[in-house]
Amino acid sequence: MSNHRLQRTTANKSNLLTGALTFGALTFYASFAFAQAAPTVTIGCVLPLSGGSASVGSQTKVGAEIAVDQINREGGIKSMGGAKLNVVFGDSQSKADIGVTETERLVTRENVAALCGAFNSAVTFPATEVAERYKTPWVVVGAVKDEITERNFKYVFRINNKANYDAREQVDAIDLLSKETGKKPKTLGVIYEGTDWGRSHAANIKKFASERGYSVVLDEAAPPNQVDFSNQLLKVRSTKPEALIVAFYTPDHLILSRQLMEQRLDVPFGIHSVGGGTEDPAFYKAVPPRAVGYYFVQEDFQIDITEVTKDPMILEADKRSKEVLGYPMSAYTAQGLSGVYVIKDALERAGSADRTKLRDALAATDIKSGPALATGYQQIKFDEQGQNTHAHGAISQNIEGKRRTVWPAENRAPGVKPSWPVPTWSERPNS
Amino acid sequence: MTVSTIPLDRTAPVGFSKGPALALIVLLLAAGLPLVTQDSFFIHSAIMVLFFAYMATAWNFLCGYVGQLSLGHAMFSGMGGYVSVLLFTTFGLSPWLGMIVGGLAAAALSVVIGYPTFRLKGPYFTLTTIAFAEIVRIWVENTDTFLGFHIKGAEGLVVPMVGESFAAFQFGGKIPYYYIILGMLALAILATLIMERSKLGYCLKAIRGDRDAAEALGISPTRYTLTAFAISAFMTALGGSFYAQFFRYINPERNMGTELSIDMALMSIIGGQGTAFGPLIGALILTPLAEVTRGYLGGTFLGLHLVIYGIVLMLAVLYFPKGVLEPLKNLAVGLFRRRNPA
Repeated sequence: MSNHRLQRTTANKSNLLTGALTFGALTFYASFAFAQAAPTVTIGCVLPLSGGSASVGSQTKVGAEIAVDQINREGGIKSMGGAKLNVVFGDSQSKADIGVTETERLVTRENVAALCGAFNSAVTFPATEVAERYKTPWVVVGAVKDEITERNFKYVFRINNKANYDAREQVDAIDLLSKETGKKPKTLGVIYEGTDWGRSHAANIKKFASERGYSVVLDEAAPPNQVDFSNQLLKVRSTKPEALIVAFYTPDHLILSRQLMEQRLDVPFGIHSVGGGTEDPAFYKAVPPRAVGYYFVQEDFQIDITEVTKDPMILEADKRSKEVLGYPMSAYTAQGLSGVYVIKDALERAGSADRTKLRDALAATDIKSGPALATGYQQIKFDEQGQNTHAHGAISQNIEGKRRTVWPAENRAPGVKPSWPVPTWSERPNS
Repeated sequence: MTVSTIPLDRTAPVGFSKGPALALIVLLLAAGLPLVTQDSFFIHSAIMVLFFAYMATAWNFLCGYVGQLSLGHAMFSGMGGYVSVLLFTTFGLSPWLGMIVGGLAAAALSVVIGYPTFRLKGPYFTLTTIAFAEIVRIWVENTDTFLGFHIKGAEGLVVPMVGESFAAFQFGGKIPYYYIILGMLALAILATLIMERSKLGYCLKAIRGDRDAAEALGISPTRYTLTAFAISAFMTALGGSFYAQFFRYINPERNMGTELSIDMALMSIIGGQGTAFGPLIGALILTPLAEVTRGYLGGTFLGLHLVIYGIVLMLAVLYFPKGVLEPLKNLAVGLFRRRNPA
């Protein structure tokens, strides 16, 4: 009996095994035989759709999908006889090797006309090299590593900022508000997470601050994911910077913001956060609104774009984003949307999905209106390295519970009045 | 007859007589692949399979035979990658030599780490390897410059393109990389086969079987496990160098991270640890599985490909706890017997 059962189990095991192997082999080889029949133009987007950056990746994906739906609904690519746009995605898992493999797949299997992505600089850097080798245009979405557009590549174009722009913009905003009001902080403090991002940002802040005549009185790195900021806040209390620049991701930023509120620590010219946690829609659900009152937030997106734009496509994208994701259009959704519209614009002008013609059309891009500017730029035009020289972030201030753009001045909606210097805790309502 | 009756120690005559012949056939088939297809994506995927097979083989050299689970091998991979890239970018030293230097450095590190930790058994050893690897990774992520070398912290290192050059380990197409990693894998499997039959192999298996009994017989566990650890670390570092040269970009998160360590261990365990060909089988199953499911599902059903991968892992561990190689071998033997009833 037991012997019989054992034998049967063995037979089942081998059946299962052969079955699994056959299935595996079939799907593996089928994937190579698969070819795209193409009355449509296919573009590919490599994004971190699983793993640590999955939330960002899926927001970007939603943006790209919204753009494709809108374009197809409005008649596709008109210069190509109304060809429909189709977007396929590759999951990089935030890993360089997987991003490269997915790029290979999209280029050689899906025959994409152009690529976009890939948020993580670590993925975008090697993956764009693959695109360059295959002479397939790549529109960079999200990745900020300077060198991506410093390699004399012909097929790589970046819509958004380089990494070092962020710090300059924060200091620019302080300059602008000081000039407008005649009230200028003399001292700055900077606290940041002790990672590549935090430390390079702090270094850039110190460089720009000394050039513009601010003295940095506090320079404090904190290890990521700590549970208490009392130590750092004590240092803020003793060095008394007049404006405080912070760089933390969501979990740290939550604790820091709560403790700043609990301790009623006054920083006369406000807290200037360089995105990270304060870019994350989830962050605002987890802090009491008072804790983030008067915060300045620098991000690669104009947070109140829907209040200033009249573009129906951007407004609709915001609505669709709420339906799909549960929150309004974010920086990442807007970047996905913008990337697809930039490719669409080039396709229209090229009149062809030929990669070389498309590349030339992208190089000649000069967009001054439309949904491609959903992130808040005035213009998209690439230099010979493929960098959009008109890229800039936007800095918002949280005024009366609403995040309103205050920098650059041309993005500021009429009637928005920055609060500068910010009210002390005791002057704020309901305190 | 059934899996459960196979003894733990597998120096079975099947492996002994047919192993090298089988290896030769597989090697020849693999070497002929680029003659059949030049397709870039296919070759790229094949390189990834061979790379993971190589890394798993390097892991297996120690862990499969000593029976200790290391989840920190990625630190050696990272070390190999970083040393070879830094020597190339700073002194222009050919990565071929740089990877040997990186390998030796990793071997030295393994001895430093191994000496205190091999006294630990089971989960304590595993936890220590994770801790060491994480310390190394976090240190690199937070260090810009070390001894005058620009490590660049979490940003990672870029290998500058110098054009096609054998000395610089840079080739136009993917086929040279394919043959390099195929050669590395063949050497690693050969090293494992030789080790299995050497005094080192027998001693390791004795230690795996019963450490105290082995010690009572005069086998020094520390000495033999350290030797195997150093060789394993050396081989892992060469793999890390290959990765760095192939992708021309490395960063601590990917090249020293826990995920890579886990992948190396998983492929060995699924394929069959403590066997020369198990890691290869593991990589042959898991890498294409990950690739195909990601290709079909990764872009549409977010995360589903990882769920499927996880289910396959669970099934494999449940039904083939000694790895897939063993039942495959039984299946082959069964078919052979059915055709030639003796």
